Amino acid sequence: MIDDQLSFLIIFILYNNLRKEVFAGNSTYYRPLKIECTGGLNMVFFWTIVILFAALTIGTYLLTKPKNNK
Amino acid sequence: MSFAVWILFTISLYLVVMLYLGWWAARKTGTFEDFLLGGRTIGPWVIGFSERASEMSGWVSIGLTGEGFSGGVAAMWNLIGCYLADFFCWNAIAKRLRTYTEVVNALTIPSFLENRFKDRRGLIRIIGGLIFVVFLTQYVSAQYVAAGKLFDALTPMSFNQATILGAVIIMIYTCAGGFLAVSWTDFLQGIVALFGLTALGLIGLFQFGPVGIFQELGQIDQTLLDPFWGLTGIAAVITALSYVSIGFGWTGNPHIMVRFMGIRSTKDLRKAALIALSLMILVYTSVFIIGMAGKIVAETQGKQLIDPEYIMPTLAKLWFPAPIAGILVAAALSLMMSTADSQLLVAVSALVDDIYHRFINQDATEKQLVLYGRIGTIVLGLAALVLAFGGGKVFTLVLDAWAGLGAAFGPAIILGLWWRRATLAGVIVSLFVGAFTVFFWKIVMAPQFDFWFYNLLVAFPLSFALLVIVSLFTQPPKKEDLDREFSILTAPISDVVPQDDGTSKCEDTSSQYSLRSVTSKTITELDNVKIFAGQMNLQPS
Repeated sequence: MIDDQLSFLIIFILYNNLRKEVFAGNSTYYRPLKIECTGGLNMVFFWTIVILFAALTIGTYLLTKPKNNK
Repeated sequence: MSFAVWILFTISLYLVVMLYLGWWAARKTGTFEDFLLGGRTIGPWVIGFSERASEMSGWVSIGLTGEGFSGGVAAMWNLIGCYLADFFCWNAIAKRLRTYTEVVNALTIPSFLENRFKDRRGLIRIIGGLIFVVFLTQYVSAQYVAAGKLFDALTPMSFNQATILGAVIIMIYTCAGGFLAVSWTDFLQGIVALFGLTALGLIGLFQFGPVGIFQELGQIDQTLLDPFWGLTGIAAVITALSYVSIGFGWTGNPHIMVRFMGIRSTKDLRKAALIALSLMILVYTSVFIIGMAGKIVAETQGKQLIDPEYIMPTLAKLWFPAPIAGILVAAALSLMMSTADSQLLVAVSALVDDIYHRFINQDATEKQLVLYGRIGTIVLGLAALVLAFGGGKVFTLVLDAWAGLGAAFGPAIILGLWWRRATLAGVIVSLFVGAFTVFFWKIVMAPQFDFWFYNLLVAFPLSFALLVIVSLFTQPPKKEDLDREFSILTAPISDVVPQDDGTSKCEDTSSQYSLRSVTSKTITELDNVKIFAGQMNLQPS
């Protein structure tokens, strides 16, 4: 029960902060937050490809280990 | 000393050291057989590095940094196309090509095709030779433009003056015997270049952070964060596919394919692939970051660039003291030199050896061939220089040459290794159509679109499809020939290649399969040139 109340309090505080930052038209936080969201999605595009190809390279190396040496 | 003088001094020193190392190593080994025999022991590290260094040229150091600068995150499509192609080659082409060319004594890609398709009239050699001359000259020209942009960004020279300087350096390096450098000097140049570019990329990454770089970029221009360049619909799809289709060129470019032939053992291919593909991810990511960081620096510090492709030398100048910037520039230049000199000489050997010597004057003396070889080097070098004065984007200039080679040779190599039914007639048609479509699309069709529609996206599938169709409509090769060919391709190399003790499970493989009597100890395209030079008594001692 105490945990539930604490969780609610934390969410409420976070929501309030977010609301102030995002929806207040004159907030100085508004523009960076918007850019972070857009940049964040494309950052995922960029770094996911890097990580995916690195995993494919290492995975192929490990999975193609010959069973016997001819 | 002024910055420009420091740069030129460092580059000169670097070139002298590289030439000396090549000359010293050539003297030390004594004969070309020593070169090649030594090369037969090339391990996965050197093959992995040299495969990367041979592909990367000025296209990566100048062209792709410019792509990161002007395209932002969308530049990643280059990595997608190139990585998937290189991954395919290491896993589906390398082993078969290595085994087959060893057994039939094929030294070059045309000679591999000539053997595989039993072309006794030499049609592949003459058509392939002409395609080499045309597209490799353009490739060399693109390296001159890249060198010109390097010097133009760092010295007070004009672009034309800088291009002449770049061309002169590359031609002096070539004529002074740069092609004689043994594999480890190529390896050394590759390491310097790779570490130089990675260092610049890491500095960019640390300066802005892996997240911050995208935030800063978005503040400059939101389209730099769009994976589709702000395009929508069919334009976005075709442009993205055009970037991915760069990978179609992989199998047709001889300077990459021959690296697979030179590895010590097919058992090492797995490790070499790990090294090469890891390096590709590292370097490509680095150059995109260099471009994106450069965009932020240029915008925030008010640096006006004549051309996005000037960003690499500009950042080197901005972030490092002159001697270190000079080494970084020399590293980028070494990528251009190692590509340009081998391609220039391959084009000349195709012209003089494959066409003149074989079809025009079979009784030519070695003295005549040496003379024509030297004249050919100068003529093709100057032709490339004239083309270079036109300037343009290094990225596009390289890709046009790349497309010609890829569309002409790529389908023949893939199907030659994997499809039993492929015929000589199909290959000849494919060579013609591949090369012609690249020109036709570039000149006639591409200008019709207001977005990038790369000629290789059309030329490669068309060339591939026609090879299949013509093969199906022409007489199939003899079954016993095919069984023998494909038993070579699929057998463990120990079964078909003589071992160190001289034993082999196949008897007399070279005389059985080869159409030409040649030394089988080939390592790379560079080494093919060495053989050519060796036949002409060009060795330094």
